[in-house]
Amino acid sequence: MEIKTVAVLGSGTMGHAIAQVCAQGGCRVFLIDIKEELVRNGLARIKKFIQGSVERKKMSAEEAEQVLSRIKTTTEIKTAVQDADLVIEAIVEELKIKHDTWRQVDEAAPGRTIFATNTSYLSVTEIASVTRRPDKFLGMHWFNPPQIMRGIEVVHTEKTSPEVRETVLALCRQFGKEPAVCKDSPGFIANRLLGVCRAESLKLYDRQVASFQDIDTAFKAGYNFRMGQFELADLVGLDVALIGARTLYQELGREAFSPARCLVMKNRAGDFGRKTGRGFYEYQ
Amino acid sequence: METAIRRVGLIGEGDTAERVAGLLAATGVRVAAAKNAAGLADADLIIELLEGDRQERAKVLGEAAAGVNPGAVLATSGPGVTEIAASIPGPGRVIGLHFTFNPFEDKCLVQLVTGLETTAETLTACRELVEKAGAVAVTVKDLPGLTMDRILASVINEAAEMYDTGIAGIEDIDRVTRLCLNWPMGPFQFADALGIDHVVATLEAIAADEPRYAPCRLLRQMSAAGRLGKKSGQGFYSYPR
Repeated sequence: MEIKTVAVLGSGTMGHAIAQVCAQGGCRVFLIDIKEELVRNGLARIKKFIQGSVERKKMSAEEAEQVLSRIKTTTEIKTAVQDADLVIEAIVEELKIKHDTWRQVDEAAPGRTIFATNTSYLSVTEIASVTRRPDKFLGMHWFNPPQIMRGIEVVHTEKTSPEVRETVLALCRQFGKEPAVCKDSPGFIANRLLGVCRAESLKLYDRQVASFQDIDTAFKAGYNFRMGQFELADLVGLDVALIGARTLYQELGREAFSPARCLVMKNRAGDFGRKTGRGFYEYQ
Repeated sequence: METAIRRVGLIGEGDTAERVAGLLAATGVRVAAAKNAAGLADADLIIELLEGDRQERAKVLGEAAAGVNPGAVLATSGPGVTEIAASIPGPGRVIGLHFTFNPFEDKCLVQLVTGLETTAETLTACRELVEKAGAVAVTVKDLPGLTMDRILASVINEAAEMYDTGIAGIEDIDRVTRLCLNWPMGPFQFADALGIDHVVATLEAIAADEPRYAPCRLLRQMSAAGRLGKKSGQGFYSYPR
């Protein structure tokens, strides 16, 4: 099955960028959010990025115009999905809201439409359960920023049909991405391994085995990691890091994922990293 | 310990010993390499780079201690700094020096490992030498696996378990780790490069105190089967000779 039309639910940080990638990949795109203002903002961000690409000579002006002409915005689910071959959902990480949205999409979309959720930490199986097409439901876990990050986790459930999986994998490659296949499980691949790596690194600091600066230095000097775990956590946000850790710990139930004490304490102190000017490191 | 280190004795053979010798000789200190402590009597710093168990390394350093002047620093490259120091007169001069030669570029990380008794002077003298050699120095308390080995081994263990339980394939896990987490290599590539036997040994050393770190079944089996990675031609990937 060829994917010609994509509906992207949610025009936030991930949603608008996913819409851009789909349009650049040759698809007609409907970008939808609950308020007119939100989709307008999403489209504006797309235009800004594309403008930058043209300025840096990464894209011609004609191409840019073509890409933008493929994107339409709406606040009506029916308008967005009634012709869609694929719906990608990138809305808030709350199960109830995702369920409400997917029920509506399931009603309005044609029988052939594939459903994909960009969830990071919720169960794809559980999200799929409110639709009547779990065989056409899978996860498409993109990474920030979608325009640049080449990796995508394609997450299948027990019910996802192999054909649907192959169709989505092919689409990822059409977009210039390098997808990986993963069973629905806590943290999929990347966030689960990051969870272990982060917990281990931060707990070494808890135990005063080394300073956090030295642990970051060791990562970079020893093996050319681009960033140490403490720098990375500060960048991502220590609030986000703690939520991720707690979620994985709850799901997997293993000590390896329990949040480090220093992470909990930073959160309690309101030091969330770059966004607040102070995390493990200090920022101007 | 009043003067800076000027004469280094290395006990050990092979690639690591050669590289450490080269690294330190570039600072202008005199470096002598030997199979044992005999002939290194005038050294300010003795580094044992043997791969043996703690008792063997303690024995070698003990012999070295008997031959050198009482102010000389005695460094072990393996774990158990406090335990080794306990068997040597003047335990304050015993330290760990763990060398990691960056596989991607000409850079060396040295973890200066302090035991319970290691003095500040010992630490400072070693740090100065390491930094003079252009290596990156970090200070670490003695804990099995230290920092990088421990963190990487934990991630490799998790990745192996994920593969063994059918969550995702080897190449897919490595690809996501590289592309989405920006790692220089995926966990299975790391395992093959470090040596699966080395990863298992690191995990077992940690697990002796903390059982949850025990190596997963797949890693143990691969190690037992001789699938050690690059060095044996087969690990998670194949390396045709």
